Amino acid sequence: MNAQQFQDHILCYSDKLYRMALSVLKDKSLSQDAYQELMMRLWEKRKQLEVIENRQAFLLTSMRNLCLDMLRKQPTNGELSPHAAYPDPGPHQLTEEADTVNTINRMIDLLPEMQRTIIRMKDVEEMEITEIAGMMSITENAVAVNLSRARKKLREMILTHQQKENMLYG
Amino acid sequence: MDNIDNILNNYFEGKALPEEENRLREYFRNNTVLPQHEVYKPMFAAFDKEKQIVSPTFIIPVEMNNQRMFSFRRLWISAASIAAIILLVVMFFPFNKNNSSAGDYLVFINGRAVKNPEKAQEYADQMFTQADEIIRTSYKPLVEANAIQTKMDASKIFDDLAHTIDHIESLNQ
Repeated sequence: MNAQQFQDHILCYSDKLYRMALSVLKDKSLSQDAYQELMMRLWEKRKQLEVIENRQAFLLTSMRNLCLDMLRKQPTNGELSPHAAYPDPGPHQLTEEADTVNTINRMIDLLPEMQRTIIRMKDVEEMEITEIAGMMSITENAVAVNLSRARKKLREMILTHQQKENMLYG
Repeated sequence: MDNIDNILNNYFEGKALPEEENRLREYFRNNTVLPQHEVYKPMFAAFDKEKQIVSPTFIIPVEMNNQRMFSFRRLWISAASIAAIILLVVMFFPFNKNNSSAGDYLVFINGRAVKNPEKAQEYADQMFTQADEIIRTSYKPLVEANAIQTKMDASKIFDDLAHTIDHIESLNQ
């Protein structure tokens, strides 16, 4: 695989890979490092990439595994337990978070890693359940269950947030 | 709008079909969202916004030329090593002529490849005979010249002549 083929067949997934890193690591700087690290590794092993059939699944899996390794090496990875509740925003925070879209992103980041990865692959990348199951090496049913939990948790956080806003601003 | 509510329920249950999810996305992108659905609009807007995040630039390393030079150098070193090994084997391997089979026999005589040892021996004998003839005929003029030189030796002629004169004088006395 030469430079042009690497550009056409690997770098075309760059945006998805970088968004995957952002979703797992929740840090822009770390995500940039992870993206560059993965691309360098792929470039060094570019000859082996020619035989891979489902490149998108392979690349996304590689990026997720790399990011999870980075999280494990950190003293505290910032992960909350799967049952953690969305922390109630204070009045000051509500005033600052005028951009509700950013608020939603912050809520998604509070989900457990598997749930937020699945909801983003489904609702942002618009991947099929089958593709997600293959990429994450879990069953389609497990994907559907985690997706439902993620969406319901997100809805719960959104409704809680709206109630707080209504109480604050009437 | 009951339909949208049903799709939303399926969506949160993770059971919405792909076309239903596409319909939801289109619905929340429009400005015709009903008040009871407004609460979900930022969620779909957030998904759309995340789609716009682009990766940093990855510059492909310019490694190809270096690698090609390295490969060429390595190839050259390999070829030189092989040549050196062959040379050492040719120089120091104790060849035994008796071990070579008839099938391996090959000599070139006057540009012709000869595989039969007896034929080669015959050619060699002919060549030695010819060489001997050439040498012999080449020496013949030299032998004749030596004979002439011996006959024309002045000192010997004078000695012979002196002996002849002495012999005549002794006869006269």
